[in-house]
Amino acid sequence: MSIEETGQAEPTVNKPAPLLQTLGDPAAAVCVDGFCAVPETDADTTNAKGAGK
Amino acid sequence: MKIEIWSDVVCPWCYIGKRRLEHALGDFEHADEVEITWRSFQLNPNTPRGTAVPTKEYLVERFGQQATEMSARVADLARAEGLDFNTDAALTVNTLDSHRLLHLANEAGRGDAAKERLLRAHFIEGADLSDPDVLVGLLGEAGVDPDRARAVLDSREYAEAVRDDFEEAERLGANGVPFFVIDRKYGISGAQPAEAFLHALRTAYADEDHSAAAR
Repeated sequence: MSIEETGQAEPTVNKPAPLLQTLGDPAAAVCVDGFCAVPETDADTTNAKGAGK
Repeated sequence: MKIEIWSDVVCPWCYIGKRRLEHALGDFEHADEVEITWRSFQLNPNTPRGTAVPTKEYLVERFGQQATEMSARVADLARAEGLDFNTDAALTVNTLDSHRLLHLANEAGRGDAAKERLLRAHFIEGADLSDPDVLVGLLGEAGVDPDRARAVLDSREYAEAVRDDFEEAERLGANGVPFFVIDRKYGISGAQPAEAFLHALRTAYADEDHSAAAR
C-alpha cells in the first residue's frame, strides 16, 4: 500500500511561482511538510516512489 | 548573477540539489559571476527545540513503516551524487538555531561553507544539531567565529530573519524545498538534474546580458 493510498501524505506537485518565471522540470524532487517524494524522473533510477525525511 | 536558495539542513533533496547545482556550476561559463545566498525554510518547525529524535523513528511515526524503505531509496539517489547518507544515524531536530547561525554565516561570507558543514553533519555524520556545542563547533569548522556563534545561540538574534525568509518563500510561490531563485526573476523548484540547472543558468545569464545591453 502506498502512502498515497493510506492518506498519510499527499503526493507533492510543484506549483508555479506566481512572481517568477519557472525554469526546470516542475516535477523535480522537493520536500514538503517533512515529506520528501521521489518523482518519476528520479524513481527511474531506483524504481522508487517516495521518501520521507 | 544572484542565486538565492531556500533550503533546510535536514532536507535530503536540498543536499542532493546542492550537489547537482554545483555540478552545473562546474560547467557554467560564468560561474565566477554567481553569488549564492542561503535562505531559511524549516521542514519540521513544530519539532520541540532542544530535542533530537532518530529520524527513522520520526518518519515511521509520521508517515508509516514504509518511510524507512523510502529513505533508503533517497539514500541510493544521494549516493549517485557522491553523498553517503547514514540514514540509521540521522537525528531529526528543530532547525531554527541552525538557520539563525546560517544567517550569521551569510553575513560573514561563510554561508556556503556553513551550509555544507551542517548538511554533512546531519546526513553523513549523524550529528545532533539540537546541541549548541555541536553547532558552535561546526560553524567554527566552517570559518565562522565560534564566540559570535555562541552569542547568537544565547540570544534571539536572526530569528526574525529566519521567519522573514519563510514568508518570502511563500510570497514567491515556493511550496517546498529546495527552491532556487535567480535574480528574483526565475524560480526553479526542486532538485533538478544538473543539466536542467545548467540550462536555467544559461537562460538567466543570456537574459541578464540582453537586459544590460538594452540599457
